[in-house]
Amino acid sequence: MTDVLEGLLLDEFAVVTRAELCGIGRITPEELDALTALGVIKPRDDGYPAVCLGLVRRAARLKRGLEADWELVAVIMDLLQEIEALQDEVRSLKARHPQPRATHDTPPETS
Amino acid sequence: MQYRDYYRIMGVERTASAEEIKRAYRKLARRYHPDVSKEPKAEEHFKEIGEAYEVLRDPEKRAAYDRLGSQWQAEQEFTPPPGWQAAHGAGAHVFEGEQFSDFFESLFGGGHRGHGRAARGADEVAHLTVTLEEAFHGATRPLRLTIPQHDARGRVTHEARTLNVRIPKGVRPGQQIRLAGQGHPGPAGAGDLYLEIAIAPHPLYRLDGRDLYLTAPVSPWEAALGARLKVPTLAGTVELRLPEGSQSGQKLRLKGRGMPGNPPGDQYVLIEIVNPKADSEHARELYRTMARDLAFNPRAHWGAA
Repeated sequence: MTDVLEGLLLDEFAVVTRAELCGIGRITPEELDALTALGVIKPRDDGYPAVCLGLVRRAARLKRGLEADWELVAVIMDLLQEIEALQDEVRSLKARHPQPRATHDTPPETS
Repeated sequence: MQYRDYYRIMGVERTASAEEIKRAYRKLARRYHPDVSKEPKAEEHFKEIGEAYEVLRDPEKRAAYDRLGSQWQAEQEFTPPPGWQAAHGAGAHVFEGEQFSDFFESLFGGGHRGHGRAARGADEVAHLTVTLEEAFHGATRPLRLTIPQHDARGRVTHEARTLNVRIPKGVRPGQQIRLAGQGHPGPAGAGDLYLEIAIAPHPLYRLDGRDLYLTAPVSPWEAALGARLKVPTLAGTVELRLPEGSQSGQKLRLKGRGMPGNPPGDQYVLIEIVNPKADSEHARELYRTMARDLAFNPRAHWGAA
């Protein structure tokens, strides 16, 4: 197989429409509205940042997997985001901190 | 295919009530839900639990499963009894991204899920670890996947295939790439494949958002007198002027030399002064000379401690 697949990077720059978000994310427009009302999903003027696709998928997974209602899903999502932010901060602090000497002797990985 | 003991997976008796099954599921779901669980193999466990619950929560499916009898052992080689008709339960409880086992599919058929909409195959998630260099330059990575297929007689076979996937330049850890139609096949088209990106730790660089951090070991005289350092970046070596009087812990910025993006990140070079070993009489003498001539007390600010 020589074809190279070019996927959609779910970042904050790519934009998806409401219909795409529901169709690809497998949620109903009503469910999307519920998530938007709870602040989990933040639409922009031109649609939804593609990163929302990951969020609705996670929200749907949580709702079905835990048999939770959307309010509880929103709380869990907030907490998960907070954990991720803290993890980012830990990573950031580690990155800024000089590494122990021993690692300087590690041979560089072949690139 | 192997027999699955759904009661054992759920940790309930064969006589358990619907309420007991629900309670057992909720307890297990809380423990293994891949979005909240820290358990190893949470995803696998959760799939198993989801499948067991899918059968045991539905009276029709549960009755059909019970009719197989209780003489089966978990993981025993299983063939459906002659004349078995796959019972298609409606309104299935779907864990997103879930593909049930061959055992389930042989009993209940596949593809009859999806919340009332025409059944697209299940979405899949694959984890892909790329090197920092691949994330920096962009890359094409072969990805080996095992995809179940339904043959003409409805049996499930597994087919290994390789996809060549474009890794976009500047991809960040945790980001997802959606490959439309590369998930599980289904009557109304295949589901999607989501690649979740991780970046392998690098021996030289640490990544912070789009910024890169590199520790530059320097000698005391380079730090004291200033120097021109050859510094590696992911785009090649650059020369960096180390100002005289530099100290350990100071950082120098190489603007725009971090990960690509809009705007691109920076590369920070962290200065770390490394002292030469005093492993010869001559080296020790040099240190003694400094001690004598420099009148340097790094702890002067402690006062007369």
